[in-house]
Amino acid sequence: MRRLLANRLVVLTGVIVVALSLLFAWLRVGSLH
Amino acid sequence: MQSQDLARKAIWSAIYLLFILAPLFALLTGTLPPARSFGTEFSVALGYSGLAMMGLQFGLTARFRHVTEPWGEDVIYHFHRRVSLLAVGLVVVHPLILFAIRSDKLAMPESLLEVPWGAWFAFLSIGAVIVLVVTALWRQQLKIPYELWHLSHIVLALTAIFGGVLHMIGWGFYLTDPFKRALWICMTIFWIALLLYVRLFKPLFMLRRPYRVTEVRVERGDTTTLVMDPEGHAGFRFKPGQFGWLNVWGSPFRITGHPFSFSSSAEAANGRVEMTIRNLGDFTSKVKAIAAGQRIYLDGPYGAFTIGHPTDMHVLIAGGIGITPMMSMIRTLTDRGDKRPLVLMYGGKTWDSLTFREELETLKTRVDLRIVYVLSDPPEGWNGETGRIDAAMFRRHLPPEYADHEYFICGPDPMMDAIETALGEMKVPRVRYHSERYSFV
Repeated sequence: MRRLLANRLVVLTGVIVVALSLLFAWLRVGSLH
Repeated sequence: MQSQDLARKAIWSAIYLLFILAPLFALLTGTLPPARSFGTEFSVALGYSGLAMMGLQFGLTARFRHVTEPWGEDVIYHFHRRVSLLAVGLVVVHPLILFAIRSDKLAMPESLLEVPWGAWFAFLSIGAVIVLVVTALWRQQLKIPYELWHLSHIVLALTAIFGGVLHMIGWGFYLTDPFKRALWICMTIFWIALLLYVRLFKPLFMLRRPYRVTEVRVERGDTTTLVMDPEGHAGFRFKPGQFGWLNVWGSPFRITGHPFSFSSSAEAANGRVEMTIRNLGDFTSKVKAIAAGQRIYLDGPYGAFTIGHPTDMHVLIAGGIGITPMMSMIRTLTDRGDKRPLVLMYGGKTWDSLTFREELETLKTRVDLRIVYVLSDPPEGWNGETGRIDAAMFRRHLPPEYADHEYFICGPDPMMDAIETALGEMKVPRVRYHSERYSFV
């Protein structure tokens, strides 16, 4: 149960980091030339 | 208390994400070089984030009490292990994306001499990180001694981080800007400071606050209690159920400590603490050879596993040597004259192996304590519970307002899994049961 909690936190971290990395690329290419 | 814990969890999670992502987004400030393709920029962002996550691993294992307390040390260590796979994934995917989109930056040079130095550091970093993960995941199968592994783990992590940062500087795209370069160098210094905190400053602090073993008590079930008094200082206060890192066999600078629950009352005078350790065949087999008078070092207290709300019935479920934090709770509540109802469900192999059996019977007369012994190998004529603790056993021994009690579970992993499943079947809300796993190192 406690490992499940830690695993969920890892997945959440991964989703946030990948999403914000996409945002970084989009900002860079889309508006910040 | 729960909402306070939730707020602390949210704040620390936000700080963790901020330390990963703020240095990345800082790259978008100031003067920017011409943008590259979306895929290139995305892969670069993954590389930067992955490296920041790797650096923050030193923070997760730095034993910051305020950080770990709302989660429990076991959750933090498990997160540390799993998030390392994520960080390595990001770092490895970064060049793979560049290869996949055939980025000009990765055009194959004609000879090795033409490979830019920034790329060599990338190879070094990724190589170190792959070896680090392989040795961490399969340490036992590779038969690497724990101390050697721990030392190599730190060296490989440092190699990966320094390699990564030098790769970024060497590649010289975003970090040609002196402010951005300074920011990432400061980040690296911060990660190294986290490592120094736990490996240098904390041991120095412990060196000035040693303990002396004043008594070594033989207990039932091939178990030994170490009674330890602070030497020249006041010691620390702990909450019943918490644990400390014990370093018996050497200086506090030695890389390996072992976590053990305190078994004594949190109200004991003069900073005295006790740890009760069962011989499990590993280093614990040497505990009974420790002599009274020996100097030892203790780092603690840690852990979120501690008594709950004073009006709730506390159901303490202990398997084997999992009795130690429960014993600390019962002894503390006795010393405090606390009258909350307690039910101890105590599982063990044989009647004779139940550590603290006699003292528990005495404590029953001083606190509102009921004990259910559960034996897997009962003696002839035993009419108590046998087998494993399960939902049916809870229904036989607990008042039926199951969801209103607080449950504290400590024992071997399979037992804890089974009990958590049983409580789930009984519709006990998750917030009503507490556990902390000590098999995290």
